[in-house]
Amino acid sequence: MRLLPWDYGVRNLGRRPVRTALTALGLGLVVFLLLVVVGFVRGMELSLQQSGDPEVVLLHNANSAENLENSSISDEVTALARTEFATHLVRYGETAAVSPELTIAGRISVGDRTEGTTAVFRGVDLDRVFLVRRQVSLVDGNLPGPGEVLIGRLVPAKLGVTASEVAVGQSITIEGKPWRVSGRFAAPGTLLEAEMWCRVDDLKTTMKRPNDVSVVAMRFDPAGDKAKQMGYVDYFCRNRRPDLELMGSRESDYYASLQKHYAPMRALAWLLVGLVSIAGACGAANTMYAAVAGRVREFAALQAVGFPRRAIALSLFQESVVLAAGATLAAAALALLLAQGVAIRFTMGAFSLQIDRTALLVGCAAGVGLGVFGAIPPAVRAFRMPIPDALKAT
Amino acid sequence: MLKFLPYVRKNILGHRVRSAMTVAGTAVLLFLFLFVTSVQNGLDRILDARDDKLIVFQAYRFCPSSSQLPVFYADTIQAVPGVKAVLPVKVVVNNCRASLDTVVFHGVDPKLLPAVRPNVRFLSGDWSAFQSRTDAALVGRRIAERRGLQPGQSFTIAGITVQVAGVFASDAIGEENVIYTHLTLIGNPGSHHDFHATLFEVQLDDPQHATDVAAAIDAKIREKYEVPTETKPQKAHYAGALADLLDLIGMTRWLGFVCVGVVVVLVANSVVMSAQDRVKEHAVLQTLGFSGPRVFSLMLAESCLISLAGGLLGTAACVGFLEWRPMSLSTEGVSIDFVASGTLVVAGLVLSLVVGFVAGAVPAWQAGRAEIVSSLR
Repeated sequence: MRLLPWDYGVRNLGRRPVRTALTALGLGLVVFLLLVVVGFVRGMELSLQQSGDPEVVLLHNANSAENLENSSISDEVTALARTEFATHLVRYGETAAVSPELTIAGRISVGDRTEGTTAVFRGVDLDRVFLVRRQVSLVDGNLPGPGEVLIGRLVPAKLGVTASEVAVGQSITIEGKPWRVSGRFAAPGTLLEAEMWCRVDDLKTTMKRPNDVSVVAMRFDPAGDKAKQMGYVDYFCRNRRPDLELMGSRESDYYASLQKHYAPMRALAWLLVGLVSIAGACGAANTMYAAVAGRVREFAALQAVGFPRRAIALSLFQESVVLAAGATLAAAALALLLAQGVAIRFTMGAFSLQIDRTALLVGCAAGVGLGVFGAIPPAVRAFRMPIPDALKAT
Repeated sequence: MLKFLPYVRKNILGHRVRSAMTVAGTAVLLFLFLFVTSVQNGLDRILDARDDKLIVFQAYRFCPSSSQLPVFYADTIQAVPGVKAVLPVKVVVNNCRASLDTVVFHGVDPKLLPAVRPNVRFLSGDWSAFQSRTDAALVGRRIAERRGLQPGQSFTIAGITVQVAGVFASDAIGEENVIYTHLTLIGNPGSHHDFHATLFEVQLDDPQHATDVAAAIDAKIREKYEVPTETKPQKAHYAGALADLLDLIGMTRWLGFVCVGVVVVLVANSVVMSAQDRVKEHAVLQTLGFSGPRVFSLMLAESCLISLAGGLLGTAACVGFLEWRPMSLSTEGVSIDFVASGTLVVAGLVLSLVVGFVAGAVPAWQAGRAEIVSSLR
């Protein structure tokens, strides 16, 4: 097949620069919108996926399986778990990876602000928590002492304050009592990054909950049989100590269960993506229609000198796809520059917009798809007319 | 100008595919803009509501399940001067986090409820049906429609099993998302002093003194009991609960503005194409005596009509969708309704006209100022 030269289609784009620029701008905005929406969905999904460590099993109250912040269990469970699951737990020397944690969802105020903001704080045993919470690392300052708190990197976004207001050495008010910020931790991509951590005994005293914790987090041997491990946990909760009203859940399963609550929101976001794409396709098709309508004679002449219809159609596709691809690349660059990593405060935490590979793939596929779709109806229309009639067309 | 409407109409219909695509694209994008604006409207309705009640919540807590106040606090609160009535409410939600499908139970004393909810209009059932059974539930219209709940039907959500005794409508904000049950059904089935409520709703003798009464309630509770309270006007309580959604709503607002930007580009592109295709036609019109401003206004009318048609379709689709499927965004037991108000409809139509004007102004101005001789060639 004899093809039209590559630059034929590209030069055509420059023949009507205003029209081309407007179409590129429209397509670019559409792809930008898609990338932000997909980035939101990906950010939410990834933060829930990455927050759950598949090796970690949580012992919590049987009635709080869906909201662990509300769980309350006896703190004797920590010692029981250590002995009961001794052979199945990851160990560092003599220390088993078992971490008692008290999680509170409460109101926090920063500096002189009287109006508090909501956030999650977790009381932890600093000697053990890092054996279980492998994602967490200290990036600034020190571990908290009495009356001190360690904050995650997303805490400023969560509290709606600047990073300097909660910098190391600053004071925040929790439960009406001032706490000094001792350091900052990172836990990339997880909801933990929006939390504040302090010594579990401090938090117990503050919350007037001296004898209970929210969960006991245990890290099981990754080489072990996962089904058997959960079987032991279930047996312990149901049969050995039913009086404690315990239940065991894999942390990854818990966060997966939270995903279902966000399913309608994700569905709505995808609906938004679909509708924006339809609007973008209308714009692209419109431009290509106009490009074809004014060139009926030109296409007839090209056919008359021997170019097959497929070659002309291919040139039209090329024109449309080059325009869409250019707009898509510009939109992707803009989204990476402006939206990537932007922290969004959300209930019980915060997460970052993730313009990751999946988001870019969806955005670019949609952008190029709009170019392809935009060219099909006009191409069909262009070749409906017989060559002699098209040559006479005005 | 009106006598030229048939000419404008002919031009629009003369390029059916182009016009239809522009109208369709505009309709879809305005639908999206109005949809996200309806959330903002719902939030504004909550934040602009009349403040005539106080909410007593456990201090420093925000999720309903984390606030546990003994029901006997009601007696202390009632004794504070300026308090007219106190309603202990046990709130149970199937999900404390942000969700589009949250079910909120308010466990209340069935004898006290009629007096403090005079605005309730029964679509089916009545107060006596609610009071006669301990597992009876009064279901708000919006949640009944969303979940398909009918009177007589029994259902279990969040571990609570109830039978629908009636469905009600209400003009109080967010109330149509609530399911009222008996406090005893979702409280602890022990003695009176074992009961815990999530919050106390306080009616005031004079709402003007709300701040003073709130401070007096908190002071009294601190003086007598260990678990402190935080009393706020209802609006401030809602604003605090919804604070976590403000980022999300702010982001959707920006997305809405980008949608409007795309509409402007879409319509402008269509008008530019129309103007470029009719350079000769406009020159002929000017030769026949049409002035430049007249040509400008004809092009502008075309742009505005296309945009308005898209706006009408998009607005009708948005209102129809929200009527067909009432939606609410909830967190911590407080719901923001997606509100398709009259203002929203007017805003949609005015916006589409403005978009038509903005998008058409430059190409129309160029068409009106074109040189006749060079255009004819």
